[in-house]
Amino acid sequence: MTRARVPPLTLADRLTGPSRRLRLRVNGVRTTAVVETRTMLASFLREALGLIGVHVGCDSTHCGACAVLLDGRPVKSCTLLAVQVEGRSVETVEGLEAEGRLHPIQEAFLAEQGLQCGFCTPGMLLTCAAMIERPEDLTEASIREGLAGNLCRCTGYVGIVRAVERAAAAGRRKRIS
Amino acid sequence: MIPRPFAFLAPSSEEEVLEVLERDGPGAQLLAGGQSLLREMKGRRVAPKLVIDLGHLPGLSYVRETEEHLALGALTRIHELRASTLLEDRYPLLAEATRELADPLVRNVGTVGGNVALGFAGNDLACAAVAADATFILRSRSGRREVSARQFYQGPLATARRPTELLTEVRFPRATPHERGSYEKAARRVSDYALAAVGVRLVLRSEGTIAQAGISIANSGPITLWAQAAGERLVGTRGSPAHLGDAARIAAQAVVSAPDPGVPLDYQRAVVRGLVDSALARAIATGSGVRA
Repeated sequence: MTRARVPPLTLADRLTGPSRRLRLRVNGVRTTAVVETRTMLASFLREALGLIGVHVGCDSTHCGACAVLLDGRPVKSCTLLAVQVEGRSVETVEGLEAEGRLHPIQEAFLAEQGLQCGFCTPGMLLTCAAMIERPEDLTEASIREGLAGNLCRCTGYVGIVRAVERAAAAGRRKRIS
Repeated sequence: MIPRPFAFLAPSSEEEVLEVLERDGPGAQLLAGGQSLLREMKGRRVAPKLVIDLGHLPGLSYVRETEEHLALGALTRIHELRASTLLEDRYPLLAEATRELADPLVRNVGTVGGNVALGFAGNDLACAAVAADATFILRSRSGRREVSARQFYQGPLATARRPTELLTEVRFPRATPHERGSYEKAARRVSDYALAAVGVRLVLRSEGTIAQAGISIANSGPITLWAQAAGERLVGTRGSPAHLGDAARIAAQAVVSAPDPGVPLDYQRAVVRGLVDSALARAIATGSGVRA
């Protein structure tokens, strides 16, 4: 998968209100920036770091297209201030692949058609990636419950659930072997 | 949506927070998880000059049972609360309210304090607190006071918390040997806030009559509603279907408004009536599984 190349905007030129230095890890990389205190994490990731895999859907805490992992837990980046995650670790969809290899959840989504338009997909992948860290706990019911914060208008969730089950099963096999 | 500009502080101790509040409390907002507050700020319904981030405060995240009460630290994340077996075993109203609250992503960030302190009529833990007659502990530089949840909510986003106060703990009455409770929510499809939700806490005597009954209603008026008359109707009864139906009818009268201008008041009342009836029936029947 090619990563889109977007030159990050220089937010420092456009600080119109109170600002603050922010230090955090993003996809494993230590990052420092100056941001307005009112900048949401989603905006920071997209505009300052060029991580446009973070999608803004509803911008009102419902849809979860903006989901990222915060210290391994899925959260809605449109409803967190960038400055709230000082010192913490954030992972976006761009961080799922490693050395050119897709994450097991990405491979499972491809195999099971867990996406159509792709708009919810980054957030969906991250929530599912966190879910399959504990594959033993997963049932169809618990998967669906775990997806309650990520809305998809295309798939009816069927392929997504199958993808999680597939990746979870692979994960369980790996642990045994 | 972008909030208005604000100054931002991230204190590392409770004392520091209280000092800042003493000086700059009016015009400031306390940021716990931000899952309620930031929505309001993005919509510019709330526009503080100063935001005080509580995220680095130690010692305010706990779930503790004492002789008298269940104490929840205000910065306990909802997902931590959900993981507590104590709630599953002994506090069915809280366990269910926590399960119904928003979604897993919001629960990863939102906090107990944040879900009761803002004064939004849709907050599920606020509803549970009113049903259970919980108490909020408020600290300031000048001391400490306790306010009953049933007195705390005064208007939309308006509470009894003074601008110089920090809510540090929520106390639910300790589970009794015959503790019953449930939480029912008529959730809308694309929104985590309810069309209406109902919290029920019943305390039974050993011979099966109802000694205490607390019923609360979310998102059916300017504040979390305490259906006092409905609860009183049940005291001394055994909670027969006729009694429960009566209480549900009375509770529906407490409904003031629907959360949405498109929803007729009669419809909101009918939904609440159904939720109360169902919540009460479930609370009585399931027996909560309390191991006293």
